Amino acid sequence: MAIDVKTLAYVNFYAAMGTLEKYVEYDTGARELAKGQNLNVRFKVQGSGPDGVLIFEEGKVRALPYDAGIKTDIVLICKNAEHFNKVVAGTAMPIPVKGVFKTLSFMGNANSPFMVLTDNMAKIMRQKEFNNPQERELSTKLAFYAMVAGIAEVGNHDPIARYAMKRVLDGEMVLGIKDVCYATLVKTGGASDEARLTCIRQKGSNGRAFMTFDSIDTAKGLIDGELDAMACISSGKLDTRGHMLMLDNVNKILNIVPKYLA
Amino acid sequence: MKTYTYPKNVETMTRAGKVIPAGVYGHLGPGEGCMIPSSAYPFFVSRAKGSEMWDVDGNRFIDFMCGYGPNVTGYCDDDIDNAAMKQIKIGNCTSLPSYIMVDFAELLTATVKKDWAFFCKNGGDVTTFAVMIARYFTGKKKIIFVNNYYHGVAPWTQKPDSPGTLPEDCMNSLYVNWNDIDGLKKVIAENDDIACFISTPYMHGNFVDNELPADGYWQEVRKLCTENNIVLIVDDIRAGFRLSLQGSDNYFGFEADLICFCKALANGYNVSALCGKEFLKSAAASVPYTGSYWMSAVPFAAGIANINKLIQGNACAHFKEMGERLESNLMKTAKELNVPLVFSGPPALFYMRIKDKQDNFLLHQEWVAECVRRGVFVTNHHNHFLNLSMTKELIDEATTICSEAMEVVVKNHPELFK
Repeated sequence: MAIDVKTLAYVNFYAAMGTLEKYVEYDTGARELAKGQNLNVRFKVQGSGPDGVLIFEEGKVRALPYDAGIKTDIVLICKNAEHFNKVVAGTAMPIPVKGVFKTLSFMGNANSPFMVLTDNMAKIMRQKEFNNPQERELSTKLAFYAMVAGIAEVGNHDPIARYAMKRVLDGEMVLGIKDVCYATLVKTGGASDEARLTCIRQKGSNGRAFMTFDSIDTAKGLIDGELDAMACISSGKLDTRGHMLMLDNVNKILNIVPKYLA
Repeated sequence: MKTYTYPKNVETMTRAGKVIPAGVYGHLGPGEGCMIPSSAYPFFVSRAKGSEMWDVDGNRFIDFMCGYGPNVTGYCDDDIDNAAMKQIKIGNCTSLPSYIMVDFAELLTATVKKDWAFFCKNGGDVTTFAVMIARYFTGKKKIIFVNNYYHGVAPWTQKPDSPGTLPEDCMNSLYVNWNDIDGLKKVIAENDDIACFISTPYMHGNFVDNELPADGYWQEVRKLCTENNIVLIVDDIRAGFRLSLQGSDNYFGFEADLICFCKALANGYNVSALCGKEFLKSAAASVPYTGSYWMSAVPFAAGIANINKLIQGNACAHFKEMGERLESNLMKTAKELNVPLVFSGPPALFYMRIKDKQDNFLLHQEWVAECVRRGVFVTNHHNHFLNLSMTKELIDEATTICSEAMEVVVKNHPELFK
């Protein structure tokens, strides 16, 4: 199955970098590091890639689509989606067109705050051996949020996944790890070309469909591909209910997500 | 009322999961996510008779799913099983087909008012064959589907996002909405390479209220297909022999060019049939299509006994009467409890759901789970089926169980049912 570079760019920005929102919320060290960075960083990917802003504010981080009302401190240009993907992979540099000196101190070398935050988060998410249960839980929660945001981006942009995304009925789908963390996918636009999924990293109150992992262990096993989803549904470890046609189509997108988050 | 537990079912599913993909794959298993919650449902049957089945824990169920359709005369029906047993002793899968295939074809074509019958095994075999015949006969490529359709699992029936399906498999697929004649006219006007229109006789999609054809809908579809050299295929796999023994096209007052039968054809013995009009017979003979067991004689013997028993038992009137009785009983309970229960589709194949304000099926799934836990096997997502062995007594017993289950749901959510 071919990787679409534009889709990968959106996944990299909103699902990978976007998970910084939860990383700084859960990890004290990360939050302290983010606290020192009150600035807005725009990643403008030319062509059809994402044009988004990472907002660092009082130890919180958000990844939002750019709009003219957002004041930017740093503007980084990437020639195209492929260039941006190389930046995220650490094999290329973006072109700073605003805030050059701030860029250097924010992300100029391996020890600069942005690089430390993203590197540490990536390490935790990819970690296989853990020193304690808390570390394992953090890794799983971050992977969960990246997965849900990945569903939205892959559904919106991957040429094959878009077929399934358009067939998802409008409304909220609540995904979660029972009593640990939740996220909501909001579908709008019906089956039209305007159809889209949006990820909200909190529990929705108007869910039409629900998918809940019964534990951290189940979530980790399924996200890592070590457990069989069908077997988990059969055993009740993965609880699905509500409007199952919505989840059926989301699952078709979810089948495609791992190739982008690998 | 006692509620069921399923320790042996779970134990068997654990064993199954080790050696069978998904434990129980497909529509009979929990892996598709429609047994909600899975803890409320049995997974394996130990025996069945008539309209009842017993799971491996010994729990008894009044079954309104009928094996998702094949149980049309009754589980382990003596007349049909005796006919099958008699045939198995004189020959089944032989080097030449048994003459009984001809007997079955004559009975079937006379019953459903078509000119020929071609036998396979599953529903997907005959829908696929119907499309191949249409393409060969017309020399055209495209297929018009009606949204919410299900015609099997072959790649041509799927969307490009389905695992194992290629975008190229769906390149010739066109889609219209049910009962939308203007939409169909538009699709025909915009495409000049349409081989066939394939549809179920009424819209029985999952998780939606089922819809019957509007007045004149099928007659207009028939006219458009004839005028545009489009083969009209009716997928009667689910509804066949439940609305009319003459086929659902006859029931709705039109004539299909090709009609697909499977589920209710032989009361669970494995045979499906594509029946068609004379002008397509030569094309059907020309398209290469066969299978190792397609001419096995035992299912033909069962099919003959089954159709004769359905005719003698005035089966479709019985299905309607039983379906209407259940609907009437449950609507009475729902009204008393202020529960917004909705029935749709024909009584013989009723779909029901509690239509809550959030339209998210949670209350409905809770009710269905409580019914199953008490011994009535129904589903939340799919239409149900009646069979010839169903009795008024069983309908009334099911009503008592489903009513108690509804009371449980109401007690669980007092704020919703003031």
